[in-house]
Amino acid sequence: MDKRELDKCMIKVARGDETAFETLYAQTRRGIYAFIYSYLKNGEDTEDIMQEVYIRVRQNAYRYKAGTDARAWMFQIAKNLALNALKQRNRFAPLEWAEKPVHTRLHGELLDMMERTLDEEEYRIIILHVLWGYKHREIAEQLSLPTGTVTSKYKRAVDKIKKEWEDDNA
Amino acid sequence: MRNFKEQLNQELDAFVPPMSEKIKRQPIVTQTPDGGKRKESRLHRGKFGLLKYLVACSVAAAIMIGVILGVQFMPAVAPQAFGVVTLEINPAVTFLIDKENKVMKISALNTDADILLADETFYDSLTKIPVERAAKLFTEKAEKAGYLTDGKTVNLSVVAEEEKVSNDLLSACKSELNAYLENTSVNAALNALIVDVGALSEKLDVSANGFSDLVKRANELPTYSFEREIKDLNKDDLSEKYRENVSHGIYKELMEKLLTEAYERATLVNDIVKANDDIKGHGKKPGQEGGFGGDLLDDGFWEIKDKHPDDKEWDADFKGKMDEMQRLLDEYGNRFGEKPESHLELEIEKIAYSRIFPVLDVVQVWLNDFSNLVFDVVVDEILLMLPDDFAGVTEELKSVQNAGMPATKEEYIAQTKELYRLYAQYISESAGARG
Repeated sequence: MDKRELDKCMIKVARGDETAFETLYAQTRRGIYAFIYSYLKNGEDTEDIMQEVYIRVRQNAYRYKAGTDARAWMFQIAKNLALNALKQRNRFAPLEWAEKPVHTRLHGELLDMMERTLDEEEYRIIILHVLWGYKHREIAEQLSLPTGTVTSKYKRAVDKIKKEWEDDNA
Repeated sequence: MRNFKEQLNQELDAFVPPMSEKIKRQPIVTQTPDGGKRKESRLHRGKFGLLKYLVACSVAAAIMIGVILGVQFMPAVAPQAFGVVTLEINPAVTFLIDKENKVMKISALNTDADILLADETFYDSLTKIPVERAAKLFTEKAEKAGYLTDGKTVNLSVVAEEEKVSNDLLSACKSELNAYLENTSVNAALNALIVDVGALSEKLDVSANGFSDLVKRANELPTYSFEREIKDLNKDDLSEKYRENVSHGIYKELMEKLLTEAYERATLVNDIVKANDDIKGHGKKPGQEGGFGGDLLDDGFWEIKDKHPDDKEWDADFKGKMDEMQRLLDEYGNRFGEKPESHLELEIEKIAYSRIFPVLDVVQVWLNDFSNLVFDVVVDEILLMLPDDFAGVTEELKSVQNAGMPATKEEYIAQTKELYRLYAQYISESAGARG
């Protein structure tokens, strides 16, 4: 779903359209989940926060301004909730990227490869670009990074994935 | 490996939960006209939910009543066809003809014909006209797209129920096509024959007993040959087919062509910029014999043409530079359809193509060493580096790319058609501009 379609969908949700909300959920759930996971690195926590994101959307869709960026709006909600959850968690035992318990990690050929080879920012940039169709400039705004940094990290991430894939299949 | 995005989505599907009851229980909060908040109940499934339901019921009732009263909503039979003509250049098409020898329907018999007929305006222009004219127009289009080359033979086959009709069709088509081929710069021959039903059935890849059966089978053929391939495919096979045929076939080919043109254009822009800098540099040397001492010549070539057009003021060396600049500009115009008419336009071209060189090596390696994993990435990179509306196709290509893998046959047909149409548009119009 592109930016314009998502905007139209969100406007309908703001008017109470349940069907539009179901469409919104179906179209955005993977991207939102992957984005939150890049912060929390834990499947169970990610599910909880993701649920909270969509509850917030239902509570606040009427505040959404038509013609702005519904993706960015949802990402802001997701990011704020994820960072709050991290703060709560980090009071106790912070988990490093490579140290999380195996049973809460996402598994899949590509997902494993991405976790092995990419750092957090590279992972997030790939998710935003591949799943959400964000351009580099938009990713830079979303992640508060310079555009040049996003471009170079993105290229590095793709090269890493490509090399890893070739090595695995050699 | 599947397409990167597809694989990522599939792997995430194993973890991403469906909508929970907790989410569903949260009412959607809407705004009242006076700016207050209101919670919508789940029964309000959309502003016009109830109205849509009533309309649907009314339509269903009307159809039922119509059927009971014996009213026909569809024509009982297709209009009768009197002849079938195939035209094979490569591309290959078949025309179904009415009793006035006018085209009722056209079907593509291979991918190259799919590409040409994907332009709906062109397709429509071939229908309801005499078949000999349609055959000529199709041949002309094939030539412009680079399919009709020296040494090729255009094969025309005709079948009709009546001998007289067959003879008339053959004669008209031969006359029109021979006249066309004689006037074109391509050295190609025509081979036109009346054939029997069996031979034409083979060309259409159908099994027909007799002329009526052949007409029926020809009428059932889809417009595009790829539609036959996807007829019995399920959703997963559909995605795989799209990937094979389209995104890794025609799309990749188009990306390579765009990239090559963009690189050639960027290189020539660089040469023109250097040549103009040479001219500007010449002007900045005061006191130089034959030069334009004191003039800054910010615009270079165009400023000279404007302020010092009399070439008697130019020395031999400077004249050489101006001639070289003119030669490069003419080359640019001949190859790409338009040339910069001022220093400002040249600067705009330079900026537009400046993105290409830093990433060109990487993208070329990716295109050459092609794998499913990086297909989406390669396409994204090429579309990012090209100027907006490059060759008139980039914005539409971005839309196709954003649409992702088709989920239904209708989407497959629409996206494939769009890619074929853009491909045909590029190779016809860009080739025309380049001369």
